[in-house]
Amino acid sequence: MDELLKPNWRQAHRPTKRRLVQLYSALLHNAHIKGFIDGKIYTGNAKYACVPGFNCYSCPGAVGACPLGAVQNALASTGHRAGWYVLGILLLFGVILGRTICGWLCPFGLMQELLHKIPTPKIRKSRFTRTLSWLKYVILAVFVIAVPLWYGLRYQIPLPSFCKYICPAGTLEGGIGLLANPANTSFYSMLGILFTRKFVIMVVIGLICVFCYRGFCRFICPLGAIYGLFSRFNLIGVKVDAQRCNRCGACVRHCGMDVDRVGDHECIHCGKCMEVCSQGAISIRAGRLILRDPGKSGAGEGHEASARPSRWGRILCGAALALLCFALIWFNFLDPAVRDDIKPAQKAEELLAPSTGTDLAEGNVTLAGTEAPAEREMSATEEEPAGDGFENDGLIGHEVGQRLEDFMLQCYNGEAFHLADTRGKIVFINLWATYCTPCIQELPYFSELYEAHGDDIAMIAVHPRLVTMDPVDFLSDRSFAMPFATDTDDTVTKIVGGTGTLPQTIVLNRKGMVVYNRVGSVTPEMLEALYDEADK
Amino acid sequence: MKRSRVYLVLQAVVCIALVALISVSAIEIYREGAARKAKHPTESIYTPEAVAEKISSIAPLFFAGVGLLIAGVILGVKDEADPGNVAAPPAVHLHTPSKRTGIVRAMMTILAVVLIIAGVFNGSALDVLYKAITICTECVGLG
Repeated sequence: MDELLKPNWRQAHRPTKRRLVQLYSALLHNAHIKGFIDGKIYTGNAKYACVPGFNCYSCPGAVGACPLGAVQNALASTGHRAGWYVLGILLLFGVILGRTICGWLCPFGLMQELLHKIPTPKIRKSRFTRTLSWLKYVILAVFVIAVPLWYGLRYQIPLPSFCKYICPAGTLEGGIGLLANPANTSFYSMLGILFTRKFVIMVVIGLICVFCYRGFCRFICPLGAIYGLFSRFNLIGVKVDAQRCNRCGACVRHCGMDVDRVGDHECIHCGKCMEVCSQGAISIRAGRLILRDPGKSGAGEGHEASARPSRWGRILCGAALALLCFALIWFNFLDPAVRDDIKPAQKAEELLAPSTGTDLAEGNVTLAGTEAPAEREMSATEEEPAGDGFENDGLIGHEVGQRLEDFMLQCYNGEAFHLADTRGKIVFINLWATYCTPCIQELPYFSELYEAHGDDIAMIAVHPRLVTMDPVDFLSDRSFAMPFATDTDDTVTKIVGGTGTLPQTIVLNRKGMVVYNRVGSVTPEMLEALYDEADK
Repeated sequence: MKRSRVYLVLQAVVCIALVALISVSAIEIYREGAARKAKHPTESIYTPEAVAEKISSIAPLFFAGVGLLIAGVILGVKDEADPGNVAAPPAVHLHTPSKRTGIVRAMMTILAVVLIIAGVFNGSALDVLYKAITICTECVGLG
């Protein structure tokens, strides 16, 4: 008889409602599917909004900002601007959902649960794991709050230390997500000790999650720690009916998290405790509204599949599916706010059409279309010296061996940097930003090189038009020899093939040909070697 | 020892070995690449070729693990004591939400909305956007 009642394999492995919600949420968090195909991140206005779950915003699929990355950057910027927006969003998420986000919406939580499904002996929760669960508050205090705040206020350097030293989601979704795409093979050049360290941390955390239920979530995740602070005030979450509860403790014993009681700061409101509560005292509520009542839906997840969804449930499912379809279509095909992709290297002939992008008032001029007519007619294979003294090698572009298109920038010191005027010199172009820590760290190396080689090299450090603090203010208490300018209309970024990834260094030889163009940090030795290579 | 126990231990060994192998491979690539870079500063530490070579050496163990996993899922093997059959303090302390909780919640919600609006006006919302649409290589561990 028992055998007859025993569910078959298919029924036993049927996804629960929570698992479906988690999958739905993971897809909605990463609705920019196109990004996985072309290896580029989403750059539309939806990234104004922080997503509730733990999802790296450098993931090619991500359509929103990671709240944890945003809060670190907000704290790092405290010196010049208070990060009210991020604090408000975290407060709102915390009060409305709290750790319900961890249990139902977090894509990384889903990954951890799937890893834990690998059948191995499991580490049980104990006094030790309960003590270890406080570690995430230490990580929150040190890596998310103290270090970014210290570096931001003391050195004006944005250092998102949790992202930089620990975050496995950043390594997996952002780092490996980008590296896995053949379009981003140039990113390999910047990998070093930081990547090795973070990669090892990521795989070790993955291993912990195999043996220990939600190991990252329980012991490390600072976002869970933040949401846990609001456990007393969550609007939506698991509630216990004090009248029905007989204090048997089955809910706590069967919970995978290190909870002391249902609904405390460790509770992720997954609702598994509803299955084991013989009194039916536990329900998921939004204020006074009951969202899941064990009395009505059978018991918990194990039996929920047989329960027919209510009319409102079906309407909600339909609306959720419609929203997902809309998001997929919008973020992949329609979003008008997506910033233009960087144009690929173009043949000289294509660039010879008169330029329409000249804007002297903004100090940012494209001069490709202003070349002499005779030069415009040069074929791709002809190698006669052009009127400006450069050899015209046919291809104009940003790849190694191609000639970089001409441009002009108005520098902060009042002078104009015109690429055509640098003929006969080795040219270094550095793309940096005030909000990019490695960019700031390598600026002194460029300055030293510029000072060391005097008039033999031309150099410019270009800040993108996206400005979170005034670069002139930023540079006012720093002393760098080379000129700086802002790429006010993305012209230079497009010319050098910038992808929004910083820092980027471009080196041209004396003929104006690209000899190096890569994203990633450089060292003084590397710059000297590049100088020698360009001088050959 | 039960057969299922043997399976679980075997799967655990494969998982640990796989993670150890992956980690050692990453460290090896780094060490070899760093030595190369010390001689030629413009060369990359990691190369797609080096990574592909290591992946091919890890692949057999990975697929063995996947095979074991599939077998385990089909056979329905799992740690009997899982999930959560542990000795935990049976005492359940109930936190009953009071009226004051509701008031505090409402005040916090209002404060959150005010902070978000203030953030939109002081430019911190724009900071979030700018940071999110630019890949900070250091933040994702690239370098």
